[in-house]
Amino acid sequence: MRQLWHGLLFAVAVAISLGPPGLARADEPIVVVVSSRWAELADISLATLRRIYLGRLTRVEGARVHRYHARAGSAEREAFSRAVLGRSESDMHDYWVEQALSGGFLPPREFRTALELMQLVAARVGALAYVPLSDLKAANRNDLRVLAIYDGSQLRLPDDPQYPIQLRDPAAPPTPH
Amino acid sequence: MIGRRGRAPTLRCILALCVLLLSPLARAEEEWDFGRTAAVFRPEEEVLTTRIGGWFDASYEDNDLDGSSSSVNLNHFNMFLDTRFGDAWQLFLEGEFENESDLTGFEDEKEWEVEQAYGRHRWGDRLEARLGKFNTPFGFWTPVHWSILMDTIRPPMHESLRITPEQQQGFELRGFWFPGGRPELPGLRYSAYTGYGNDTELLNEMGTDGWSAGADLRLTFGETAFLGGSYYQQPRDLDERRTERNFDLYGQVVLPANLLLRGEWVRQMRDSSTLPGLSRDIDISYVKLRWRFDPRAYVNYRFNWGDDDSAGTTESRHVHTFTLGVQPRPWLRLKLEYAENRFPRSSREDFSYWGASIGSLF
Repeated sequence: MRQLWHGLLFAVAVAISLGPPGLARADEPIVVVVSSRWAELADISLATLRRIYLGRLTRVEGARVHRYHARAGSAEREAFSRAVLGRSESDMHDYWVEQALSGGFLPPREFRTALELMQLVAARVGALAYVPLSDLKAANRNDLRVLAIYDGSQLRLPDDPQYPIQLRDPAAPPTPH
Repeated sequence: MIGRRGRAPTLRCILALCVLLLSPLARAEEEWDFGRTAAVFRPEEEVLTTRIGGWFDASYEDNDLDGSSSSVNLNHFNMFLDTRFGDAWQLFLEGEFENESDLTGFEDEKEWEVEQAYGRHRWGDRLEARLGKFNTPFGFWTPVHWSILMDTIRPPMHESLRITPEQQQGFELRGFWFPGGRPELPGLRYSAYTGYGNDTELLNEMGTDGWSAGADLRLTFGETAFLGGSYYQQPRDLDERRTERNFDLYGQVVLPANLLLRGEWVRQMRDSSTLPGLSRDIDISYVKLRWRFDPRAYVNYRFNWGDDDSAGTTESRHVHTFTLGVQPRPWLRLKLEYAENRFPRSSREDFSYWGASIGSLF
């Protein structure tokens, strides 16, 4: 009986320490990841990232880029839209409607979970996506590379307090740039 | 003896059957099937995709001119079909039913037509070509003139007066250029095109009679600010035969507190070869300010001023337009609008216009 209780307590402790999968905390870095086999790309600017996700840039360092979104309505999707695209997700809807009516750029495909995104990006050179840093750490992958972000002329890594893509209060205004 | 020998083969059969039944599940895991087919992992450049969609809007409109009566109309019904093979090739088709009233003081329009029908080939980010019928790349409003996406119910004066055709039938080269080593610098969007129109039913395009040509250059600063200039020239054969040269200077900037400021200035220089006395310049401009006070709602003010020759003589016209827009769902747009139309220095009667519009994407 004692062993059963110890086992239950241990299981509860493990569950608490792991936390629910896929939930990120506020002010947590959202990192941009590419396949570790994409040797040419180690960093990227916010402007280039924005142009890629809006469909205006399809090649980086000579390589075809395939960009992917997190699930619509997810916290990381909203954070990425505000920090990189300079608009809320609902504003981005208008942009993609205009593109659809004019026969313009196609929107990025979206995937339901960070796990799917990471497995896709790892398998394909040229694939680019963003995931919460906590999900990346939990996945314990060595086939992905985290890109450093150029914010203006400053190179930021995820441990930098000024790292530009963070989960934050959704009511905060978009980052102007 | 017979019984014991019979049980062993039966067990082996059951085990073999279990292996056969369970093995597809193991294979499914290896195929990484996360609720989507393997096709999602195919490179986009190998995929043929077709999208169909559209929108419609309807409105109640009225004004206070003597003899006019209110109208409730289905104003637009628009559908598009977009087929792409990978990155490089595209066929696009857009058809529209238009039923716009004359209650705004401009000419009404009631017709079914093919708005756009073109093929596109893309060599890369910097260069692509379109062949067919496409929206004229002139200024800000004309290329993106779908009322479902506009902040107002009624377009600005230069669109209502049809200063330039909404579409071209011809060929266009266009692209984007970004400074690779300095991504914080502005990008450049460019377009050059030529078209042809005549009075046949197939090639009729708003009085264009012969070859037309134009170009557009736009500097983009981030994603919310731009400054652009357009030129467009065409021969037009209406009551007189004339050459029209059009210039458009336009720009937009996003201000703090969710404010957006945009303006266009259009000048049309008319050189009449049959009636030289009618040669003149037309100037039309607007400035608008939109305040998005809620993620799903805004108020918009537009001041439009310029030369209006829709009544036979050229008169100065001022239009103050106030619009409240609400977007309760991403696919649903509601607008309330009020406009004051003034004709200073003219005998034409001033009037007020009001309307309500509902639009939906599908």
